[in-house]
Amino acid sequence: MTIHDLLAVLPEAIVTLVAIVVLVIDAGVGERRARPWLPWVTIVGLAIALASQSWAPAGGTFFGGFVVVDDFSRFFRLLFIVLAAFTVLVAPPYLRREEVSAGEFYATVLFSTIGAMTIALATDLITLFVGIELMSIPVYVLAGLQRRDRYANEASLKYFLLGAFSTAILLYGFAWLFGISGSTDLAKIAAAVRTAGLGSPAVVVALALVTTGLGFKAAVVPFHQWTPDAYEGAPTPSTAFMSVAPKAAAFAAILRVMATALGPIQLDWALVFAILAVITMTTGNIVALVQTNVKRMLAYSSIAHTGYILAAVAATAAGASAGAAVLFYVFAYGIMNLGAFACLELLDLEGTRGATLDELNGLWSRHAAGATAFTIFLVNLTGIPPTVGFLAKFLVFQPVIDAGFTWLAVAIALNAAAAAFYYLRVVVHMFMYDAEAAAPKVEPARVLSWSLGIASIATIVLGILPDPIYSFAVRAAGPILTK
Amino acid sequence: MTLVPLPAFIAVSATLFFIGVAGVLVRRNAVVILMSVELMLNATNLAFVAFSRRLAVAGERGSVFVVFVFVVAAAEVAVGLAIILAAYRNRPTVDVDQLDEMKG
Amino acid sequence: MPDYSLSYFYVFVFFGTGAVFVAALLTASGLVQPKKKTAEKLRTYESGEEPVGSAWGRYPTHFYIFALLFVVFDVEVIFLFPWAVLFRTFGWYGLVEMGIFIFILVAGLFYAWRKGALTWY
Repeated sequence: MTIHDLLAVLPEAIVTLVAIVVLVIDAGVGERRARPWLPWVTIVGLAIALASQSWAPAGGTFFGGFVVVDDFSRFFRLLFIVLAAFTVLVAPPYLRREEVSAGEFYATVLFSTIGAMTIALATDLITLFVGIELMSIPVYVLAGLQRRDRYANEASLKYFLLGAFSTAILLYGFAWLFGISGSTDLAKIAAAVRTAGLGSPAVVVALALVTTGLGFKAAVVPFHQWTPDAYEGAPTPSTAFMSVAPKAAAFAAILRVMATALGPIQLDWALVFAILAVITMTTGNIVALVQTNVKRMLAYSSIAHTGYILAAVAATAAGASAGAAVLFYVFAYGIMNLGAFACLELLDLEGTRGATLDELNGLWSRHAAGATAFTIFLVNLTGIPPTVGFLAKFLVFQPVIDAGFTWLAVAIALNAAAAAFYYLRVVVHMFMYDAEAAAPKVEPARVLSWSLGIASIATIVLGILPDPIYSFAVRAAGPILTK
Repeated sequence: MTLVPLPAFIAVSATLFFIGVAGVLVRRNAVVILMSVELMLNATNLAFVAFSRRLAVAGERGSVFVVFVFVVAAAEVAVGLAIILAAYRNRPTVDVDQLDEMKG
Repeated sequence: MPDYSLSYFYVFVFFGTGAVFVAALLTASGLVQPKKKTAEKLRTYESGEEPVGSAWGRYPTHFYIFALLFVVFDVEVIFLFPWAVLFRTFGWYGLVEMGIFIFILVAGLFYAWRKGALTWY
């Protein structure tokens, strides 16, 4: 072990340092004085972390084979840093209004980000496990950050209990993978799985446990029950973060474990994943149709999007294009879903309660920029060109058909069409109806509005010129899916 | 003297794990659910140590894994109890079925 | 019967003998002893102290924050142990790494202290 090891994880080290600095400033200077500039400390720190990659060694395995730096981990570093920065930019008005401790919020987001980045670096079950827990535990805290709000209590308790349960299941699956191979190294596990094959009961047990555990983390139906309550009850900035970063991290873990360690039996689990994908997207969309609370509707919509991403995972037999589709979808979903939740932060609602459809009536006449941004994010989520949301869905089709799941491609198309109804209903409420007398106050927050504006324009620009991200995704999928 | 065979350890570990799963699914007290999850984690630890010591091909990383599981479990319990306590302060119950503010 | 289960067999024999012995003695003394129940005799025995309240009483919850902090910091020490055993093998690199580890823990402790978690109410 040398100094090279520490340099290889320089971005993660810097994010850790920033999290500690934020905590220490918050505790040392005092909440009230630190509050205005803590977001900027966080953002600058995240930017330095991203830039520091150029000083890090080019790539390879480090820490005696516990950590690997490749294009896959770099892609997720970029994604997680962007998501954390976006979360921090849009959060301050809500945190001030609801008197949520700001230092704790930013530090917890950063800690979770480090965990998510660690998952992408993992080439060993131990690193992967530590990463998953470091990502999850802060998110339980984020969900319950409004300690005096009953909804937030309930959200964090449910999220915590099911999260801990799923971790234990996943971990038991890891124990079986270790039992099969005698190693925690993903490549060595793959070799042992190839020899043992699906005829070995131990492999079946490990596969079932790992699929269940990761399914919980990514909110795959039927392991999704915690999602709507956790998303609805959590403070809206926390919901924005936890609907995207843990899901992206879960898919990073799924790709690392399923495509690398369990890659040799890909043909066997692919069908299970394809069926889960159809169930997930259909359930998510059908339940979302009947929701009147927009926050809860977006929670179910995020379950539906898990289904689309899962379809691309099921198609990994098609090679790197499927991996690239997963990565590109995760990136696009991250920005559009975070943006959609962030739009709800514009409205001053009591506590964690999400806006009902009627409370959004006439938003266009009261806050034109916010209504426009929200519309753009919803159009993205629907998947209408020329947005990045459309492109992400489009990229899923080809690998799914190549892998022989034509029925899955049909299911995606039908689901996307059905989903348009509930997304566009929100747009109708914002533009066509007049505001009610008791409509919630709109937050005149400048940074929040600007961030939403820039992010919504970015989704359109990426929809027209996807190449920087898409070619990055193709390169990132390489180390995972070339056998 | 012969040693306890590996399948015996795995049988105990699997039994512990399923007691834990049953506890999570059946009990409604949040603290007891948390204890059941801990039981599942300890079942995992037992399996890791047994595999690590007995499999001819196994390295020491199984035992190292157990150390990490310990530490992470402690952090998880700390956060979990804090969450349960915060919920209890606002509404004096630890019965998860009575936490039903949200529906839909 | 393999060797190892024989050793468990001895343990169970020991356990069984002990249980029978205790049961027999208690039954015998129960049969011969005089029984005069008074309130004083039936009271819970607490080493000579007057029992206060019910055994199901609740503890004040501000204990929990100390308990949680203790558990977390106590368990982290597990990482110091292998390092201490292999101190020479790891050399300066190990020392620096442990320094980083302790620094993170101290930052956490500083936060807990400044936020008043260490103050006794």
